[in-house]
Amino acid sequence: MWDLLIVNPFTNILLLIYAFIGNFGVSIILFTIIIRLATHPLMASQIKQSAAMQDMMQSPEWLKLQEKHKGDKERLAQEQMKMYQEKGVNPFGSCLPTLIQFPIIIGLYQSITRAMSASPLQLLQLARGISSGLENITPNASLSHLIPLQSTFLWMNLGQPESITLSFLPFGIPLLAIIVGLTTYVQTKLTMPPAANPNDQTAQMSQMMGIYMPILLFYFALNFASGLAVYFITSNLVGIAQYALLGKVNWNNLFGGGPKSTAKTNASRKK
Amino acid sequence: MKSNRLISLAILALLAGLLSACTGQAAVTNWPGLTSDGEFAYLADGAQVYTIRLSDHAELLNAESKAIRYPLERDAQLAFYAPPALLPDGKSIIIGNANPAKPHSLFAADPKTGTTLWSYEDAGSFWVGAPLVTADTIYIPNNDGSLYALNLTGTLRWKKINAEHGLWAHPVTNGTAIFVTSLNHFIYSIDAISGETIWKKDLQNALVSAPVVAEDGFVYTGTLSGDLFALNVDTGKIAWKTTLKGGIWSAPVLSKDGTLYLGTVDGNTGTFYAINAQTGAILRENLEESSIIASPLILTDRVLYVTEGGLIRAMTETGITNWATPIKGKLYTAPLLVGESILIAPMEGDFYLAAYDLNGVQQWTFSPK
Repeated sequence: MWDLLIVNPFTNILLLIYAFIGNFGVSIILFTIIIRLATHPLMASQIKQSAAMQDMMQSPEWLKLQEKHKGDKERLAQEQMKMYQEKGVNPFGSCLPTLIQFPIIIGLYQSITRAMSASPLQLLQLARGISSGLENITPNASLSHLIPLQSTFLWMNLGQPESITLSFLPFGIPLLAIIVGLTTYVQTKLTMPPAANPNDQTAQMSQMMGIYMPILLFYFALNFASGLAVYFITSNLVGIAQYALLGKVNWNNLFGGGPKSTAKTNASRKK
Repeated sequence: MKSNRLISLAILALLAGLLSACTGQAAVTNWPGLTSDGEFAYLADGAQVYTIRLSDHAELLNAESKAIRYPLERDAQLAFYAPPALLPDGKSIIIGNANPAKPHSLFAADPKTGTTLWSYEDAGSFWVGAPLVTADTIYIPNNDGSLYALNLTGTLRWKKINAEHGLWAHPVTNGTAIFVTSLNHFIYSIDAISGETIWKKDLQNALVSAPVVAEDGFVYTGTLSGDLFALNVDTGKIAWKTTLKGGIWSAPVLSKDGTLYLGTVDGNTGTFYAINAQTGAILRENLEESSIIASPLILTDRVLYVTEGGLIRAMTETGITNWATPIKGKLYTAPLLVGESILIAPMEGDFYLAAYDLNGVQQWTFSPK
């Protein structure tokens, strides 16, 4: 079912782009941009809901409520729910768009991987998944044109892990993996919302993600097909652009020495 | 603070697992590879190669009663799917890492002790096809588009072809030339000693299956679009071309009477063909409800093939079904005749390996404990 609804249609779109463009690297970039743009309204809604939730949680009424019912969790929950309704904030409003986006992103990722089949079984799945209708759109979408894919992009073979060899160095430099690590770090930092309290659990976890996530994706890019690294980089850059478009890029996180707490900001404003 | 760190790490571990599964690369999947030396069966099925003694269909055990496999311990970086090739000593096997992630190791191993004899680490990519082993050379195709020739101790003699796309199929030889197909649509004839290209031919579609070279002076091979070719071994000139229903995913098999047998993949169905090797004329065809991916097996008076859907069918040379047995699981691996037994290695089945007698009666099954 997952294959039928998500992976096969995505793979066919990716292959169709490839049939027109003739370059798999550019196809991955275009396909990633198209999918990110298609899910942009969901992302915007998530950011909006998340901001509304954060504003509410920093409000004096909310803090007062926490203080008043700190010994009675049941009552506190009831009062919080009442406040959600009064302020028109959906407590799941920021989660739902993320949950909808998640399978799309995973599907995108899987379709790229499927197109770069690494075993006869994966190639068989790819060949079976190619819609016969593609060839009616363009003759370049025939089986003979699509298998194997032209996987050379810039200096890379997209089916292989990438590294640049310099004559004076005894080892290769994994340039793409480094760019993946850097863009992931920058994206995590720029899109991290200011925390109400830097000591709270969410803020600490966000900060840790900002450290671990680039390392994890660097590792993936280092070891796996560079086509996936192209996807990671494009996805990171488009993500930053989407946040910037919505005015939610937090430049202070990158250049201002860490995330600024909104609690602190509010306090300094009062002074 | 400590608990937060643990939660973050747990989320990342989950993400890593998810991405690995999604990519299918950290854990690449394929059907199992099977070889036998008559006494043992060697089954490459993912992380390890199983050595199964055919007399009692059991694995060899070490002093601690632990099964001896290669490698002794699973390694997440390693995956083995090609049929292990036996070295001329009859004791050692050659098997390459099929995992796209590094290292791209090729191992010579002693499967009876689970130890590595040597490894070759300088390949450009991972290994899909099984090697061809002659008296003094190992010829092995790599996904980097090159054919590697190594001596029996793992020293590189030459690396040739450098095709734009991977070489996934088992090479074959007529003694003087090596024939190897490529995803790049080409079949190559390579001088066995120097590695120089004698001829190459563009067949217009991807080739994932091994060719078959015959004493009649032709090499036969089929493409994913279903074109079956006979080419002159010396010149590469196409003698005939026959288009079949569905793609060709496995090597044809040539019988002594000059008939080529092979199956095709047409969506989820398939057809089994008998072809006149001299003319390319279709002699018989048998439509199956499921695809035929594995090469058939020629027995004394019949031919046997397996379908993806799990059917084992034995047919007489005149095309009449002798017997047919369904099993649970998918059959992609070519059946193997050892003595009076037919070895079958299903994927996603109730067992890893089974032996059937020549009348289709199951003799035993093997599943690792």
